[in-house]
Amino acid sequence: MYFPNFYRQRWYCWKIFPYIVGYSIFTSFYPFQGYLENSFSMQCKLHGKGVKGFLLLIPISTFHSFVVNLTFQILMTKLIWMKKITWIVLLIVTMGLSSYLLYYGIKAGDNNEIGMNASLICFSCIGLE
Amino acid sequence: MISKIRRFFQYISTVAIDNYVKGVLIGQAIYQGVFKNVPVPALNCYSCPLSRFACPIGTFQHFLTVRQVPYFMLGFFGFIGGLIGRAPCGWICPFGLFQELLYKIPSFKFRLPEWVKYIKYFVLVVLTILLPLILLEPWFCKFCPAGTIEAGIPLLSWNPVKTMGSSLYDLLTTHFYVKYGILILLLSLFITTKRPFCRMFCPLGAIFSLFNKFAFIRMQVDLNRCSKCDLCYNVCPMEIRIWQNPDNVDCIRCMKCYDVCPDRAIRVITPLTLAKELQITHDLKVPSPPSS
Repeated sequence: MYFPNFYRQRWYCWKIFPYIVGYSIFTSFYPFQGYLENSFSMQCKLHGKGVKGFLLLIPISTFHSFVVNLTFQILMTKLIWMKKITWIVLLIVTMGLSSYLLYYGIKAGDNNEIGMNASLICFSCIGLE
Repeated sequence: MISKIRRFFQYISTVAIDNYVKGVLIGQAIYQGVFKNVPVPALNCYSCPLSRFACPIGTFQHFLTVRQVPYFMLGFFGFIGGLIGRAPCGWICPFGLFQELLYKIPSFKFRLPEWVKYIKYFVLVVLTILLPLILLEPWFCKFCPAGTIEAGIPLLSWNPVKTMGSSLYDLLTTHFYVKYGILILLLSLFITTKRPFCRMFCPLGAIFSLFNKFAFIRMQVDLNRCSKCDLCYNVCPMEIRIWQNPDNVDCIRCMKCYDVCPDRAIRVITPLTLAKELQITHDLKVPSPPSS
């Protein structure tokens, strides 16, 4: 796959390091923990356990920042890759949303409405009033 | 070769969509069965005596005129567009086939300027969405030439309603003459230029064109191979240069360019092709471990 090959590049490890540190400090701050609690059940459990819990947040945040930054770096630095990813993401979103709309439309009885309308002669189509 | 398959497919789909001959035989003006609950991904008037399916644009407008959110239709457009982009215009649409056949008539021919492709978005927004929503009438249908050919002419010629004591001719107004005037103008364009309605006015084509850039099936041109001979441009029914932009909004995936390309630079890609390519790229890039 492409990911491991990309990760092997040395410059990338150095470039991502400030992000990891910065993100760890950022996420360890108290005001942001509420947000993180909603996102990570693990951190939710750790929160409220005093200094030990707070210290445990750092490696978790580090890991989190690593994953986030890895994705971010790939998207921002590899434009061709980004273009291809955008295609697949847009396609998945479109197909997912469309499938849901189709399902919802059928459930709401849209097909009967379509059938009833299409079973009558459309005077506008013929050119009559 | 693919062009011939496509032409065959166009005939098959036309027959599959418009095949209610029984109705004509028994004197039923239009089909009213269960298939009418389903639209087809092509401009096909549901008032056509032979039509078995609903028209997506007519149906979409109907939902707007009754002030309902067209959930099913939005999903339908998204699903078809996401899967194959504007390919239904090239492979399914009977009206597209009609235009292609008329263009075969020997006559004076000319090319339309490129900017005309934007007119269809105006038609989509104003005639198909805004006016039906505000004035509660299907405004695109009032001008639709497909409706005139598929429903207007057959129904007025046949006049099935006269058996019930009145006639369709009793309902003729100025609108009728406007609609037929538009048809005559367009027919002259169909003979002299390639697919003018699809390129300039079709709101369904405008909707599907929005998905061309990220549909499951897309076109790709290898510019290292392409000699820019413009053979593809000359045969293209939408008059686009695919080597300039393989994801052109007007590309109907007719594959004529694929057939004529002497450099074999054009191909169809999907996300599966991409995954395969990435695997190959990786295999080439990663050096093999040194043998001990």
